[in-house]
Amino acid sequence: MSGWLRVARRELRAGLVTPATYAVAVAFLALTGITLFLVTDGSREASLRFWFPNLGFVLLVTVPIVTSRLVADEWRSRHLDVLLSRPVSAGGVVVGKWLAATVLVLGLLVPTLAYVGFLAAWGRPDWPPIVASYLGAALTAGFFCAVGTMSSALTPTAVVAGLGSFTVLVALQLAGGVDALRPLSFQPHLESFARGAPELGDLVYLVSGTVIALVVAGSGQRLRRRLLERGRALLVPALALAAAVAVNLVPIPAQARWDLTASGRYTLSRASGEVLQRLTMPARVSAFEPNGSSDAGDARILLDQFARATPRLSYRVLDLSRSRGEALRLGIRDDGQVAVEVGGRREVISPLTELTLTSALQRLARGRPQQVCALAGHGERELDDTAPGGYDAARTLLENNAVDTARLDLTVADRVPPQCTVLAMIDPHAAPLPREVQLIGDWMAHSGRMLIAREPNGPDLDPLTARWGLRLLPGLLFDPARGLAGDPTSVLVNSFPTESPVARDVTGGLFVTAGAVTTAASEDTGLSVARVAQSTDASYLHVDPGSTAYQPDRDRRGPVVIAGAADRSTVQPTGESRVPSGGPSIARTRLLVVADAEWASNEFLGELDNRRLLTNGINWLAGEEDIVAVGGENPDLRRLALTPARRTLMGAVAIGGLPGLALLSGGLVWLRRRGR
Amino acid sequence: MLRARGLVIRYGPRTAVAGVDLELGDHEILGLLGPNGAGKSTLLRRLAGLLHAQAGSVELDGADPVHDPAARARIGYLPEDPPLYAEDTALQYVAYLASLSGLPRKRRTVAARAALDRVGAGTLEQRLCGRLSKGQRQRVAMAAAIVHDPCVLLLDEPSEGLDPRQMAGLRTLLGELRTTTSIVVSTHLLAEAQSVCDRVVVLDQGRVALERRLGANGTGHRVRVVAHGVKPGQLNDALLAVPGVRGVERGVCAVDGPAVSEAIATMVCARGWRLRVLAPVPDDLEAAFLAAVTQAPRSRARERT
Repeated sequence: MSGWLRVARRELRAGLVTPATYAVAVAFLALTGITLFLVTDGSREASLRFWFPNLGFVLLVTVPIVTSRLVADEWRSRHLDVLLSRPVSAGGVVVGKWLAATVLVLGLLVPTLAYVGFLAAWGRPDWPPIVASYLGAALTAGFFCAVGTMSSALTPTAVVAGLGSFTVLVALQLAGGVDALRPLSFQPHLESFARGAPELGDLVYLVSGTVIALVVAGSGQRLRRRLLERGRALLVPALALAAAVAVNLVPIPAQARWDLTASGRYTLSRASGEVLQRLTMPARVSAFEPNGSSDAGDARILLDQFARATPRLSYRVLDLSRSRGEALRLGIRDDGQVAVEVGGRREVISPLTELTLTSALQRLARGRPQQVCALAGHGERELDDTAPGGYDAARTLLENNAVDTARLDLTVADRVPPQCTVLAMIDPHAAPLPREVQLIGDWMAHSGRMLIAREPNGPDLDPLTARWGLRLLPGLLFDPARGLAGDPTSVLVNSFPTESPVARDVTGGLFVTAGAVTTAASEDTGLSVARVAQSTDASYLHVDPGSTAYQPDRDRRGPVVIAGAADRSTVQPTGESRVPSGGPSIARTRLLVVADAEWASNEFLGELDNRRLLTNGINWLAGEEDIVAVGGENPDLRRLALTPARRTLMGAVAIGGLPGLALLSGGLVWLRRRGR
Repeated sequence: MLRARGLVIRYGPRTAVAGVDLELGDHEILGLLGPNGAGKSTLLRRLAGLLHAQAGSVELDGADPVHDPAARARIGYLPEDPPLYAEDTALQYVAYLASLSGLPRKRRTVAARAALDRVGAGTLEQRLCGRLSKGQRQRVAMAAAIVHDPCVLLLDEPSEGLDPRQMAGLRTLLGELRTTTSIVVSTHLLAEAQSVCDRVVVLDQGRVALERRLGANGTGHRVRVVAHGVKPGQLNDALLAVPGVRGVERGVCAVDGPAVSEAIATMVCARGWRLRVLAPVPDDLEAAFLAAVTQAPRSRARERT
């Protein structure tokens, strides 16, 4: 057995019989228990990914206590001379003591396996990330102990050694909050492991940091004995430091990471990779998230994957409160919004997911931009009208989403221009001419996309919509229970009954003087129709304009569908393929019918989630929200069934039980040695 | 066995050891004497391989303990006021140091027990080091120093904290150890040095101020010669001509052994001088020590007997 291993064995043995070790164990387990309880109670997730990053703080407090006396005490008492007069080197003593401290700290982690027991009993945890988290914790503990050993080897005073390592570790943690110093911090690396997606860079940081700290510790002791050649003695730590910095600066390839999550949450899908590979123009992504928030961290992780996949993409995460001017320039209004710029075109997306970002990049990078052609000629609302009922705000919103707009009067035009990707018919006052119906019908049949928004008193549009399974009904929607400011015709809608992409992340909408949409029989195969928004059970569609009271024999009882979406897909053997990898193309016709035109007007677009409803609707119509099949779209949430009784049990064991056991063990050790 | 040549050790501006030459023979006990701060402990630390020197060399059978772990494995070192691990039992502590010296696992505990018995600390083996008295700690540390049967033993103030009975035991132990070991003992107790050492070196301000070989029972082989009918200078020359006489100073001859006295008497009588005194001279180490360390360094005369 080598000298360092013998030193480690004795230190470990001494640690196990020293009551102070058990005092540290009590503090450690109390702190980890409290953080586990708070974090798990908050997330209700059968995972330790929120708990492990907190371990950095707990170790930061406890490791300096464990390591402060390691070498300093031996130095001060001159017992180090006794050790070094034997065939053991100063480096061997340092490594042995570091190893013992690390094993001791890892021993403190063993009781935390009880936390994993809770997750296994009350949930279905994803095991590989948990194993990776413990591996990361072990490496971090080794790194912390190396810093502690280094500090202890550089001073004969244990208190100074403890304060020294505490200061270094706190500085390394705080560095994580400053962008320029972030690479120096251990926190992102610990979090990488906690997520279950460690990278080669994380290993390199923790291992090289451990090695350099130990080299400095060993050199410090050698230097103390070397009265000559101090310059040469300093060369070793200097070279080790330079080597550690150098290996951390080597760019790590994007593939050098291991996504251990069952859902592949931290791996870009192949489709995203293909989209990014085809990106020929520089792209810049500006995510707006509060500084230091977990959302900012998540955004950074996702964007980092994108940036690694292509050198053309750069990103930044900005704090809205500190970057007002930039937010204004990019059209950002809220936290959580993300501006994507490609080749001078821009789109604002929210939320930031692999799906939304890849889709936005795909849209912006396309040679042919999306263009909404607003139909005119029958009194429709104008896209440049800034009056309350106009659609100027909607136009601005669309342009922020990389969608161009144009006006199209089919009463005079002989066809739908090829640059039109979506037709919009907003509040026509007269029915379209048969010729227009023919033109639009033919266009729709060939992968056409159309948005129709009509007020209740509008013309009959069945010739346009019925073929696609939707009809607009006559009548005015009343909802006495959900009327805004007592007006039953200004309806707050909170029911979005289907998983339609149009209603994604929409929780509320305001519809003023709305009508109703219903389904119509259609012989088209491949047609699917979905209710997008509907009113409450208490509402009704009032047919007789002469009275406002509900008339059971004539009025239509709620819930009343306010918006419906029709989607018809047919597979074609040839044609333009939307999927980059090729294959058969899909001909897809889409129609979104809303029985209200006010909701997207200048006056009401800003209300509730109307803005999101419009962008979702246009994106869905444009058909580019689903161009990639993304694994990480729906994070693999593994719920923890935490009933009040289980919550109490977990708190009792984690905060009281485990520290109590450590206290008991310490007491027994003290009793056993008391008489010797 | 152990040889130091021209050792110079400086701590910053202060010179702790200034050009010391030292040689330790097989089975020899060398006493290292000197006032506080004379450089005794520093010299011992250098001999133990714990310190680099600015100049000079140390060799243990050709290897420098600083660089050669195998050489350090042959050295036993007992520091002054030896620290122990408070949480270890005496047996654990001695066995641990045995393991660091490379003793195989099977022999460690046996060797540790034997070493504790040898220093008279066998009854302490299950006691925690942190609860031992100063004398007990000193003995446990001594056991740790000899547990691996070193061929050179460097002891820094080993009698510190021992009661008279334990000091007698230490003397006996050193006497036993010299059969297998060469020993350097640093001490400020002249009587102790006289009783156990073959030779003493007095250090003062980092230099060797006095080096003296001690005879049996604390006397050197010196005889005082007083003769009438002859001039002092003439007597000195005649005495130096006698085989076995190594030096003469003020009528005191340093001789190789008791038999030389007879040759001196024969020589004096043969020349027709009247021999009045021919007697052994007791070795007054204390006087020599005081004379050596109170002389000004530059005018100091080195006495070799």
